[in-house]
Amino acid sequence: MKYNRYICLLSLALLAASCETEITIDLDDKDPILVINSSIESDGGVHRIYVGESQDADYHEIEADRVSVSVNGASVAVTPIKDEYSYYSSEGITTRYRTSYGFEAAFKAGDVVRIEVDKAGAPSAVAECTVPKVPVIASVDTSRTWKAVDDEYERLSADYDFEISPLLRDIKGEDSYYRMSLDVRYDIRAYREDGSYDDMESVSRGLTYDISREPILNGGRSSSSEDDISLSDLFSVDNIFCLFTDEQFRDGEYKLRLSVPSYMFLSLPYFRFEDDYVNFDYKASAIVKVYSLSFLRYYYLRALENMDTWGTETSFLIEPTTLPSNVEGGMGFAAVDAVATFEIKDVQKGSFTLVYTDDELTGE
Amino acid sequence: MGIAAYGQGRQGITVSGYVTDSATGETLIGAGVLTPDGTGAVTNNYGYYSLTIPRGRTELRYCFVGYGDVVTETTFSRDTVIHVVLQPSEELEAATVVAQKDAGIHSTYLGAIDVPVKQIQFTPVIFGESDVLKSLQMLPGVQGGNEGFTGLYVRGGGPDENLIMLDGVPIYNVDHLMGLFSVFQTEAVKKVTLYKGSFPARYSGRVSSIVDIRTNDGNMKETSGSATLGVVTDKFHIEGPILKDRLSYSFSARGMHTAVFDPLIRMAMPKDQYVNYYFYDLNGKLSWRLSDNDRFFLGFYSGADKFRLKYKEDSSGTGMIEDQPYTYSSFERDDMGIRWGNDVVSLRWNHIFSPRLFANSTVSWNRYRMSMTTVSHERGHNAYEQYDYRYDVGYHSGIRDWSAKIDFDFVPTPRHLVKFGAQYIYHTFRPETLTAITDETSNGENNQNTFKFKARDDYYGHDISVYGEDDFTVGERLTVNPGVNISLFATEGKLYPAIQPRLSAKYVFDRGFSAKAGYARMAQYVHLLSASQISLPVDLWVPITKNIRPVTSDQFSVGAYYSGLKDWEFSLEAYWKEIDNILEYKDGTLMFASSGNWEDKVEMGQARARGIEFMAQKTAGRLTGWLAYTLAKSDRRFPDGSINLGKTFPYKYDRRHSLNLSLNYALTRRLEFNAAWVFSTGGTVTIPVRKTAVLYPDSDYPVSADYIVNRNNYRLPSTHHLDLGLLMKFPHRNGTEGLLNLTVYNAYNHRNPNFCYFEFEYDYDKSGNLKERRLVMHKISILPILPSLSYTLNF
Repeated sequence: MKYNRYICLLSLALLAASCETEITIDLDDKDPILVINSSIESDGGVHRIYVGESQDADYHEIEADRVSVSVNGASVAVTPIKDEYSYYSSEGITTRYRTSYGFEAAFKAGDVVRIEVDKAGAPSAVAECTVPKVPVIASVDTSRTWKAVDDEYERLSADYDFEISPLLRDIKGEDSYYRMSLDVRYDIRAYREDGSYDDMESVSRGLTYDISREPILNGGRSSSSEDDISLSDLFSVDNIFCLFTDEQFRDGEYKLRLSVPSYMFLSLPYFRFEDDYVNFDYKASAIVKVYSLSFLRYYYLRALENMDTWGTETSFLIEPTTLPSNVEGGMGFAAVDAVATFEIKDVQKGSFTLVYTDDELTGE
Repeated sequence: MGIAAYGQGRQGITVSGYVTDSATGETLIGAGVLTPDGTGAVTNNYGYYSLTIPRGRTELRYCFVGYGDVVTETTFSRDTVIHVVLQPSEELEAATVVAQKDAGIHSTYLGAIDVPVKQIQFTPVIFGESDVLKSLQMLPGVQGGNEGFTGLYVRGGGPDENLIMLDGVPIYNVDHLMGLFSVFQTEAVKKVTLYKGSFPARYSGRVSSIVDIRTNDGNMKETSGSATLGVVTDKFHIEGPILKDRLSYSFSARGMHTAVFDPLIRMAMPKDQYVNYYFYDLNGKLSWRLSDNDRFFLGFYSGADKFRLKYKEDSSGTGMIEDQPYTYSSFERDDMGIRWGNDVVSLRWNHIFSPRLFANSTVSWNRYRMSMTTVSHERGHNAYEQYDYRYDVGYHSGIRDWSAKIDFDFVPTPRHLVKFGAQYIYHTFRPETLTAITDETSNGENNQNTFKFKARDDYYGHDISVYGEDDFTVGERLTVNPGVNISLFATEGKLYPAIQPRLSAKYVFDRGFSAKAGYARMAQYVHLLSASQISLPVDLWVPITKNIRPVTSDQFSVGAYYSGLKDWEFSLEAYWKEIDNILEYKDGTLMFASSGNWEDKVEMGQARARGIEFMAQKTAGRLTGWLAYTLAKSDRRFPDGSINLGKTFPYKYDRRHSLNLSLNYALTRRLEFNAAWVFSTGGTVTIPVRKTAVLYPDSDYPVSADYIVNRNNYRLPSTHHLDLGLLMKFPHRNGTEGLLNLTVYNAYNHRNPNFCYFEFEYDYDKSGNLKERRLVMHKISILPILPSLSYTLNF
């Protein structure tokens, strides 16, 4: 760049006048400690626990000697689960296995979940959390807003935004912390050329939706004009988990206003289609989920939002994020989020046909 | 009229007038007037005194440090005006102690210190640049931010909690060159007073300190001045009479060499190319003594930092593409400029309504503005394209105040000094605005775009306050100063009232011992959104809003004092300060471009500061100076949880111990030795304590992350440095005097950290295997031993 010579001169002048020394900081992390992580939803299914070890400025996953889970003091069966994963290195593709620990349970408010992990050479670690009260989604209003869309070839077409407005009833008598997410369940009927078909179902989790009109989720940031954007919005932390508190509707009700572009419902999840399917019919149902969180869990997710925006390592340009932990004798975070769901059936349905070119079929 | 009737009905008479310097006619602030029975008065910020005494023959002694006493014996039968002229003294004797001072251990206020301007001028500092703010950092309870920079952190408060006033007008940007120098020219300064404890009721607007800087009015007798050539800057000061004893002027200018020699730099650079950075300060004042009862002062200050880069490049030639020759040419021109600084204009009127009632009225205008512009133009053609690109980018922000105030000094009886007044400030805040205009033409096709990133529209604040205080004596030993400041801030349709009571009391024991206690509540309506630990042009002043409440502080302080040893003063003060609604960036906030939606990025919380301060000061004689020690603790808590999960954490500048020694020794009449040694416990920073892993919702595996358990959990190394100075005076036959000032900053070259950053580092062996991981602090020291030399010609 043309400023280079001036910048170099200035840098040289600064270097000549400055001196950098390095001091190694004794972190007192020579001894290993265990890290437990688990993100559990209260509505059943298989829940996973991830165990690792922190030592010498490093974190690595481990297989524990013992992982036990109890709910209100009663033991729950825990099964190791091995997941295969591959990565590229100078030696080519390497396949490895990652171990996590699964257990099945459904929870109710007030349940105390305790996870204990042992590993030789490290102190035992115990994570304990209490299931929060389940929030109430009183109703969900929906509507469609049609709009003109200008595609990349400047051809106008019409599309719609799917408006979703869940009415949330606050948990009374306490400070409440919430998270919202939107899943889509696809019911797909796949036809073969001979007319036979299979029915399949898949859920796509964490759909992206527009929160720009919902001040409780967007922090009041304006989206009124594209030409008048707040400078700082360019450098803000996005509320990717849609976290919010009941500060503005304590012990009352609040109607959230969200909008989902229709094309989001076309982002079908990964299917292992058999080769002989040719036509598909699908129906997409939106599943609104509102989670009630503990105070620490709320700020843990806030910390993750910061990390998602700025990276997981500290920077002198960013106010550092304090990371909560509820693991005694170790680190990490285990939480049960109490979830309320509301399904909106068949928000979109349609058909499509797979058409391959010769090149695609031969993989060239 | 009521006041006149009140005065006529009393037994005593009032002696009043101005005390001035014999050589310059400059009014003397803080000069004492004493009667044999110990009754006394002190000249106010405008050099005016008023003393009520019994009728009859009385001796009056006028005194001021560095001046010979003047004693008059007169028979007083009615109110009398006596203007007194004091002669500078070669003997550096301490002035006779006078009660009812505005600052110092003899005043009723706690934590109020007059900093001798001479001490400021010759305290050795970086590049030999005498600096008001760096001298204040030498006082107990006051700390600098980053080593070597001008930030003020007073009793656990932040840099935006200091109200720094130049002739009563707030200055928003007090630094040059990212805080290495302050904007105040010591040649133009007459008096500097710091208040950090029991604030007088006439001050409000900040919660941690008031720095009241008064400038010279101008020599009424003859033209005088000085010219200084330093390592970094050149300075020029001149003052003199326009109409002798009636109308005078004072003008001071300071600029970096690069400012003074800017025309030469332009000549030396190739045509259409230019690069330069400089800062400058201009102070001026016209003083008009219309009559004994009316004086007018018109003052201005203008200062700024400027950076400009112009670049131009032309190129042309031929090339080959697929065996086909082609020609190309290009023309590039860039012009970038950054400017940030203050402009202040004030008009003051001193009026004596009666010998007992003095008024000062001020109207002022001040602004701080920052602007950055970049114009870029590229034009040319090559084998593929004929193009013409133009880009125009501008970034602007600022604050502008209009203000009017009136202050009264009223002396109803010898035992009372009543001060009251009112002030109105109209703030206009201009948030960050970034505009970018692009005009691109390529092969005949034109594309124009305008982007405007705006924090928000201009917004306004109305700041109204009234105050009253009475400094009165009960019996022979007890002085009490109760007061109240009532303020009201209106913004965005919301009103914020604040009642700020103040109380100070002093009790004088025998043998030079005295004790004081005080309480002060302060309110603050503006904040500085600061991007980093140093002063940067993108730092932005913002007002409170309908969601962000005013900052308030409550401070209790007690002190014990001893002045029984000739030329010595000792003080020991303890304070407890609690601040509410203090702001701090939330976890994970980017500290740049912070003005838009800034309310979402900060959290209101509480701060607590407590400490003990000791000061031993040698006030007169060949050796002067002070030793100051501070034991302090300061922490923050934000209960909502968005910062440090609601847990208490130490303040960034929580420094447990500070020790400052400042000495000035007159070896001979022509040779002075100065030394300053500064020691301070390191501040705090946040570092990760381990590596951990985090798990996102709906994620199948955890990811490695830094584990931060507490904000400001690591204490930086202590800092210390010794600065030395030698001042040589060379009187010339023509009456002028040369001053050669040799200073050495950081004489033993201690590598103090000016900036620090942390990172995990990984060492690998020759095979590429990871050998060691560690957390490393990179300590950057930009201020090693710095000798410097300056020469001043006083004329």
